[in-house]
Amino acid sequence: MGSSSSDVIARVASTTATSVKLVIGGRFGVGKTTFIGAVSEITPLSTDAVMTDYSRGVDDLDADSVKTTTTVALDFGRLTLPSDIVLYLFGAPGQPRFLPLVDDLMIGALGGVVLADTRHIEGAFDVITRFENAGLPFVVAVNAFATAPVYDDSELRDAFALAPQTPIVSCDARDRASVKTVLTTLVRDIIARTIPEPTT
Amino acid sequence: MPARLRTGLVRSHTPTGGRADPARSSLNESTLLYPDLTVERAGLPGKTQQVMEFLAPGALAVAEVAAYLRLPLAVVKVLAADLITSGHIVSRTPVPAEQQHDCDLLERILHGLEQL
Ligand SMILES: Nc1nc2c(ncn2[C@@H]2O[C@H](COP(=O)(O)OP(=O)(O)O)[C@@H](O)[C@H]2O)c(=O)[nH]1
Ligand SMILES: [Mg+2]
Repeated sequence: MGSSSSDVIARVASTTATSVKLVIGGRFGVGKTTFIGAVSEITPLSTDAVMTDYSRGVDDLDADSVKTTTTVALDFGRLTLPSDIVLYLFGAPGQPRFLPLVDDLMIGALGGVVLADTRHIEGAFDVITRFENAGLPFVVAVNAFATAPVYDDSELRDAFALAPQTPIVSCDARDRASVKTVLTTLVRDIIARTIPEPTT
Repeated sequence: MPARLRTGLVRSHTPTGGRADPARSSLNESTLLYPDLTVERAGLPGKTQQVMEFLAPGALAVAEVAAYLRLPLAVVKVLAADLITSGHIVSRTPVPAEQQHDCDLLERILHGLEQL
């Protein structure tokens, strides 16, 4: 890498900034990269994460444990807030076989967004389960595709088996204001969970 | 009038509670890496030198370094850990677990988003 390329890279200017990691999950094609790009101050970047699989599925009869490594591209964006906070939004790969990477991505994360498409609601199930099992606060954002059927929130809430306090919101991942609303909904929910709890 | 959800699909619900392991959260994708330019960096081994030179103009997160230098995340984590140990880099971990319920910080995030 030449130094000329680093000259145009926007650095984190504040030396006191707190970074915040958010994980954006959902099936392949649901709009994760679009969502990240709508609010990111940098063109979303991609970086390689390596995942180790210890088995290749039930029909692999010739080995008891086949170890394979898969390189998975993670998309992410950055959003600097005026309050000395730098948000990093990471798209979690949607394919079920990459779910172990979602577990890695949740480490150190403040919260998550599950993007859902009502044409394939089951595409959100796995990631919701992952977030729940990790205790990661999250919101479900139903992405507005033109041909997607519209359901009552209560029906979707039942189908997703959401805990009563988990927010469910509509969203257009292409629209900055809409994405901002999803993020503020998430942070408000985290605050609401925090207030009644004792600080131990 | 909303359509009826006909798929009949319902997610099976298996909460286990618990949190992501905080012990492993010290160096992750969003950890900010601040170069300390007062520490001599001549003589640093190959890729650590490359990371350090890249960071010299100013701080970035682990994932940004990995993306711009086209190195796997895991490699950058190891290199950054070495540079932290040698004092070339000061790191700031994203909101540590013990601060994730800090209302002041959460309010700062919320107000920051609202001001955008
Ligand atoms: N109509 C509509 N299209 C969207 C929306 N979000 C994403 N798309 C489109 O859906 C496709 C897949 O989006 P992408 O962000 O790449 O999905 P990812 O695989 O989850 O990262 C792209 O062609 C987007 O332009 C949305 O909110 N509404
Ligand atoms: Mg994508």
